[in-house]
Amino acid sequence: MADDPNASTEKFLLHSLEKILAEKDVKKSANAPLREACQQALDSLKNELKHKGASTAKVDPNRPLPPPGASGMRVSSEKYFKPFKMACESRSPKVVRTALDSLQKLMAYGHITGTMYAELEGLPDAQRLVDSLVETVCNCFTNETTDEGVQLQILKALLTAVTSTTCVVHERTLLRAVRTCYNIYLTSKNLVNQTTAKATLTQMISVIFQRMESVAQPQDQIEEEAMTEDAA
Amino acid sequence: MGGFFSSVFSRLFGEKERRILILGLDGAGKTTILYRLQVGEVVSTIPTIGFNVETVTFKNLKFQVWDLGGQTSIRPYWRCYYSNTDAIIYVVDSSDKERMGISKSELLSMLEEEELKDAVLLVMANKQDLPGALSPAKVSEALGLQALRNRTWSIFKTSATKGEGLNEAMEWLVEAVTSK
Ligand SMILES: Nc1nc2c(ncn2[C@@H]2O[C@H](COP(=O)(O)OP(=O)(O)OP(=O)(O)O)[C@@H](O)[C@H]2O)c(=O)[nH]1
Ligand SMILES: [Mg+2]
Ligand SMILES: [Mg+2]
Ligand SMILES: [Mg+2]
Ligand SMILES: [Mg+2]
Repeated sequence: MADDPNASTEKFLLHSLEKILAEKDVKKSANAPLREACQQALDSLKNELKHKGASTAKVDPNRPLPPPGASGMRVSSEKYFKPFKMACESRSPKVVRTALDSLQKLMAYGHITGTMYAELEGLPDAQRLVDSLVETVCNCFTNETTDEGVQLQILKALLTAVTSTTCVVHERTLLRAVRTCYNIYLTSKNLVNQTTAKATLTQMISVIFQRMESVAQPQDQIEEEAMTEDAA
Repeated sequence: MGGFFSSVFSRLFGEKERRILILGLDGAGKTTILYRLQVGEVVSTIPTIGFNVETVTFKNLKFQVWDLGGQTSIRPYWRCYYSNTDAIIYVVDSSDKERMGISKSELLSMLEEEELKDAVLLVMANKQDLPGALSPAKVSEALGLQALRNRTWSIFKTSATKGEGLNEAMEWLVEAVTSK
């Protein structure tokens, strides 16, 4: 595991994909496209790891890996995240939970950064990967009938996304994240999820205010300076 | 026979998962302990900002174990998680002598909360493998545990990285939670 820190993102993805593939429900015929997408991403990741001379030895996918090194995978990687999105859209709660857990760990450990784009690099309106993923996470909640374990994983992932300093989410995505937690808080029939949604919202809102204030500070100074200039 | 029926019974009626919170100052070893309990291995950790939650089965008892961040700025959110908690695992870095006082005041203000009045307290005097680590008796003294009233509590020495002491501590916890 300690052989090549630069390949830790690839390894984390590799083992997360293997974990999704290992879910019994993935074998259902309805999940054939998901299975195929996982397999394709796996093959391509293994190739990349081979190029980097890193081992593909099995690591427990539960194990969070260290953050990426300076030359970690930073390029656009839609193809690698497509299986996670598909897994989130699957009808199997277990598969969804596993995918959400992996996405949260990828964000928490800094493997998904604000400079990764969902589409091919260089595309003018490329959506940031983190925005696209947060949207995917939010879409996992439909209403109070959404699996309770899925609800919990959504809250965990959104709290990480919003509090992360490596993949800051803004504006529309941020609102969407807050609204989703709020909806879970209002509609969930599960007491633990209600409590967690409230806790998550409390922490999110305070982080948002802290950021607002730290941005507003220099703004005030600029305005003040402008006023004194006018007066002069 | 009885075991078979009771397991069918609990499956039919859904054995309630017990709720455990792991709390303590930053760097005490909370996340390391959570994954030690869950996957039986040492994982690489980063400071926890949100929460980790995993289901851990110990002695046929299912626990939903919550691990919260211990940094000063996020300690105020601990209280948001208190309701319906069956047990608190309070983790102390036994080698962090300078911060024993802070650890004590965080513990005491937590125990004053109404929502935690029935929660069992398990203190882990962690990082016993480090030179200069205080003994459990010394940690207990530093935290003022002897003065606790109306609280089921105990302290164990642990080394999360070496995997020592965790089983003994968890055995006590299972006993304390089930005989409540
Ligand atoms: N020597 C030694 N190191 C330990 C032990 N337990 C944890 N650590 C190390 O202490 C550091 C912090 O551990 P974490 O589990 O991340 O601490 P935490 O309490 O979760 O910290 P926050 O998430 O910031 O609140 C890591 O480098 C661990 O490897 C132990 O028993 N002995
Ligand atoms: Mg400490
Ligand atoms: Mg932690
Ligand atoms: Mg998990
Ligand atoms: Mg401490």
